[in-house]
Formats: sequence, C-alpha cells, structure tokens
Amino acid sequence: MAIKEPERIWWKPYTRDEKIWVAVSLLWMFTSFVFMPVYHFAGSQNPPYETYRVSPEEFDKLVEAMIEKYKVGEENGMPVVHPDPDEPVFIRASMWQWYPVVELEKGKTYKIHLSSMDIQHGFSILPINMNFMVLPNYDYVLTLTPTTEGEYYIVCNEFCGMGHHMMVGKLYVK
Amino acid sequence: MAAEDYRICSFTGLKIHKPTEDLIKWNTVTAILFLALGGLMGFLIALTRWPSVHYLSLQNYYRYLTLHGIDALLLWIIFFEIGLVYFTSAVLLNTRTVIPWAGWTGYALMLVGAVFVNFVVFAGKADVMFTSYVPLQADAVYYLGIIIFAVGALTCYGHFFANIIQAKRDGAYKHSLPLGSFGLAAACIIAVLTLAHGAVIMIPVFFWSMGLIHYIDPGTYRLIFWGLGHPSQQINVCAMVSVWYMISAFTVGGKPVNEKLSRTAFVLYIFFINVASEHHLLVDPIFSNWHKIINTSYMMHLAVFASMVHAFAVPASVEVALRNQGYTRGLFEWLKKAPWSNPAFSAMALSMVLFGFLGGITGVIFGTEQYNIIRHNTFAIPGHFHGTVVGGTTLAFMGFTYLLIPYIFRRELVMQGMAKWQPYVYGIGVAILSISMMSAGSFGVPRRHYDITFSGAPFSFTFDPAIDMFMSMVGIGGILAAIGGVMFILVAMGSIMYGKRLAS
Amino acid sequence: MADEKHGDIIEAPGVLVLSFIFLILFVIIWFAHLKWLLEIWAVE
Repeated sequence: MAIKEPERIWWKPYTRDEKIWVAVSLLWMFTSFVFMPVYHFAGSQNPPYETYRVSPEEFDKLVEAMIEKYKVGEENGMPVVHPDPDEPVFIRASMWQWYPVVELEKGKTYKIHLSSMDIQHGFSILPINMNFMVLPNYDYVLTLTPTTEGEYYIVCNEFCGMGHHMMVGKLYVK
Repeated sequence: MAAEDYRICSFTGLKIHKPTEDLIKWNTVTAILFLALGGLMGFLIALTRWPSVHYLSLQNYYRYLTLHGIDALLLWIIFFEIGLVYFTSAVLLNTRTVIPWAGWTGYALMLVGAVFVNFVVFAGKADVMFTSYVPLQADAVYYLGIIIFAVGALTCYGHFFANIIQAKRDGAYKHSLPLGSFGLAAACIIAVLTLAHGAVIMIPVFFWSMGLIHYIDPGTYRLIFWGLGHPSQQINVCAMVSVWYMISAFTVGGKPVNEKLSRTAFVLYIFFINVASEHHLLVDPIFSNWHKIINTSYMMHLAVFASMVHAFAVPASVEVALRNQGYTRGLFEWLKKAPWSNPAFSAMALSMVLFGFLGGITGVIFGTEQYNIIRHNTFAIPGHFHGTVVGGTTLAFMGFTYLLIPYIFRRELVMQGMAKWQPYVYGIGVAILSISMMSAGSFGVPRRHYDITFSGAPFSFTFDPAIDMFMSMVGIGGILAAIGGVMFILVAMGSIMYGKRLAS
Repeated sequence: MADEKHGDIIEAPGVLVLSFIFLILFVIIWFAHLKWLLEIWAVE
C-alpha cells in the first residue's frame, strides 16, 4: 500500500495492462516529439527571428527616423507609416501605447523590430491571435509576410500597470 | 523519546507523535485560512471578468489579482504541503519529528513572510502580479516577505530529509519508503532545487528594489523566475499524486499495482521538469529556435510521460482494490460501487479527472513551442492552470483534509451531508471556469486584463461575440467554485473547532 | 514461471479502457490546435 513500506522485493515485472499503457504512452510521446520539429518547418506556425541588444534611447531614435521618412498620415493622434517592404519596421511599446500605426503590403516580407521603452509588454495581434513578449533592452526582430488584407489590432497582454487595458495599437495590411 | 508522547490512531493503526500532530494541525489550519482569503479574491476577480458584472475597480482588480496568486497558489498550497511533509515523513513511518523546534521556526518564518506580503500588497505598494516581472517594481518589503517565506519553507522541506534519515536509523523502515513518502521525497528534492532558483533571483531583486543594484536584465529574470515558478508547480504535482495514492490506500485499501512503475515516474519528474519549465519563454526574444524546439518537444515529454503513468497507476490501484472486494462484474462494476459519497474519495477521483483532462492535456499543448504562440498570455493559460492547481491539487488537498480531520485532529466531520456534495460542487465549478477560460483564450482574450472592451484606448478592438458567453461562464463557474469553497471551509473549520471529539 | 504469468494478467481492464479514452481525447485536442494554419501570415 502507498501508506506502508513495500515488501522486500518491489522490483516486479509489469502486468499486461501496464505494458500496454506504457507502450502506447511512449509511442504517443515519441510521435509528438518527432512531429513538432517537423511541423515547425512544414507548418510555418512560428516566424523566424533574431535578437539584438538595444537601449531604449537608440530604439526610440530608430522609430522616430522611420516615422520621419515614411509617415503618410495620422489616426487618433498617432502617426501612420507606410515603410518600403525591404526597410525594417519598428514598433515601440511603452506605458501605454504601441507606436506608431503601421501599414504593410500584402505578400511582402518584412522585418519587424519590437522593443519596450520601460517595462515588459505582450504583443498580441488580434483577431488572428499571435503573441510575442516585448522586453526592454532587447530588439526582437520577427520576419513576417502578411497574406491577408485587413485591419489588425495589437493588444498588450502582459500586465504593465494601471493603463494596461488601454494599450491598443493598430496595423493595416493593404 | 518517551512512549507517552505517542498515541495509536484508532482508524489507521498508525503511531502518532504529539509534536508531529501539532505541526500538522497548525500548518493545515493556516493553509485553510489562506485558501479562504485567496478564494475570496478569486471570486471577486471572476465577477470582474464577467462582462455584465465587472465588479471591482481598476486598482482593486490588479491588487486582488496579485493577492489571489500569492494566497491561493503559494500560501495555501505550500502550508498544506508542509503538513504533508510531517505526515509522510513521521506519521506514515510510525516515527517522530526529529527537530520540532526547527519545524516551528520554519512555520513562524513562513507566517511572517506571508503576513508581510499580504500586508504590502493590500497597502497598494506591490501591484506587480504573482510574477513581478522586472523592471516593474514592488516595495522592498514584498521581496523581503517572499524571501523570508521561502527560507521558512526550505527549513520545513529540509526537515523531511532529517526525519527519514533518523527513521532509517531508528529502524522505522528497512529498505524503502512507502510510496506516499517516496512521492513527497521527490517533491522535497524538487523544492530544494526550486527554492535555490528563487534565492538566485529574488535576493538580487530585493537589493535592486532598495536601490543597491541598478539593473536586472528582464530576460534573465524571466529565465530564473520560471526556474522557480514552474518547478514549484511540480512540487505540487508530486505532492498531489502522493495524496492520490494515499487517499486510494486509506479509503478503498488500494495499493499501487506496480511500485516499480510508480516510483520510476516520480524519478522522471525530478530529472526533467526543471528543463521543461522553459516553456514560459517560448515567445521571448532570448532563446534560439533550436533551443526552444529541443527543450519543449523533447525534454518536456519525459515529464509528461511520468504523468501519464500515474494517470493509469492511481485509478488502477482503486480498480484492483475494489475488484478484490468482489466488484468484478463487467468492466465497470467497481466504478459504480466505488464510495462516491465519501468526500475524500470523490475529491480524489474528480481531482484526477480535472487534472488530466483539463489541466494535463492543455498543459502539454500550450507548452509546446509550435502551439505556444497562439496561446501565450491569453486567458487560456489561467484556464490551464486552474485545471491543474485548482481542479487538481486544491481538490486533492481538500479530499486529504477530510482524512486529516479524523486522523490528526481527532474530530468527527460536521455537516456530513454538505461534505458529501462539496467535491462535486467545487469540481464542477472549477471545470466550468477552466473550460470557459480556455475557450475565451482561444479567441485571443488576454489574461490579467481589466477591461476587454478597451475603454479609453486610442483604438478599440471588438472580440468575436462568442466570447461574451464564455466570459459570462467564467463568472458562473467562479460563483459555483466559490460556493464549493465556502462549503469546504465550513466543513473543515467547523469540524476542527466544533466536531465531536473522537477517542484516540 | 510465476513472473511470466504475471505478464499475461490484465489487472485493471476498466482503467485501461478509460485511459485509452483519455489518450484519444489527448490526440484529438492536440491535432485540433494545428488547424490554426497560417492563412494570414505566411512565414519564410
């Protein structure tokens, strides 16, 4: 019993049902273990990325330079940019906004740089539900190719203070 | 040790040492009180996420959410586990607690730390959530409280090893520990590793909060914090699985079908859970793709395999025991004739179902690199761990409390009619809560979020209308679980204080 | 001899059936999460 010391020899062979269950469990674990790395490449569910160190000041300068070069309008007081497809795109997280609004072209590949000015934020693209962490001092570069036109929203999903629920940004694919 | 310090338990025949009994009593009662506080917070939070109720104010929502994590996840569970430490290292072995004063010191430290943390969060100086991700900063007292609590907990987990070494010397067991103690030994080993991670990160953060250190790298913090955060859930899993085996043994006389299999599974937990806890960092910038693929597609599955073994072995022990009692007709006569009105048994059975079907399956899926991207930080994540920690661990511990009351507190259960229904009400509430959280999360609803209508935001996103139903069900599940929780507190505290005394 | 026999016994047939139900659900839910193929973001 689980509440008594086992008898002298408890290293006993398995019964048949135990063998069956251990075998199918191992088989399923092995299947998922092989399947997932394959799916990583075949299923394209995860974007490739690189990471660099960057200070908030440096990143801020890159964001401002991009806005100056590619600004095409304003929406709700926030600049809208339409960068060239081979140029890097910078999206800045801070308490409590995603800055600026970005327009991307359908079918073009972009390098999207994410970093935070202050504390940790969560980059959640809705309604398609893709999620990334945005950390201060890290430049997280995602390679993405939008394939469907529309309006997307960026919601912060890592707690970042009392204005957390107001931290919503926007993204267009045209 | 004088013989008069011992008594023989009339139910189990176990020899119980007076200081051990007191330590178990105090730790268990403290645990139940923190469960009451944490549960109340959880109830208010569920009401707030129910869109048409939206009960708490903005500030209180995040404050109570921080407290809910601390009280329900940390304090209730660890205080109860410390009770289990003494139960499995002394009572089960018919022996004594070697250094009672160390047990009391550990208890006092844990209590002081717990009071510090609760106080500072209530005072509004630590609205940082359970994870306290840097550079979001809390008052230094918050980190100090966590550190003091951890030192106390480490003292008590360490006591387990002192007890079993002395027990071996005293000849209380000859070759190996009973499985219940073996599982707790695995829990205590993981606890030591886990608390070491906690010290590595919480002590620097404490100095940082006092201004003595200027910079803590947020990526490093996340890595080491989750070396604390996830393996500590594995302490809970080991303790919970031990409790399953023990409840099976106490209620139906179940014995593990194969000690070898069950013990190997516990050893797999010790080796693989720490490396698998990186699944919290799967969408972080800090690791390479290959690191993430290997870590979660390979390492994690060995720990998962261990859980699948227990998922078979514990119910098998029940089936074998009941078949031996003569319920052998067909495949499922034993299941029909099981003691479903014994709250300890039904709590164990429900705990296994909820842990496996709700918490377990989703945990494996959300923890896989390729899937994590669509679930990270959504409401599906709390849905998963309410399946494991609430439906699984909390319910199992509630069931064990129903055994501790006669065995250790020597009281008869009061309100037995209510006690009979309590695991079902609580279990169904938690199941609704967990399923609706996971469903809402699959639409991208964020966790730890005050207002998913985003009032005051520059842009407003509207979720799929289906989430209204799921978010309302979160409230309904929360209410049911709260009713089940209140029933538990009434029965447990009522029995401990006013239950009919049982002769020893 | 006794050991060989031990390997032929099914001690807990009911739980074996329940465990298979669990496993089948596990596999179904696992693959259900793959349905989310990247229709919106293709990735090089």
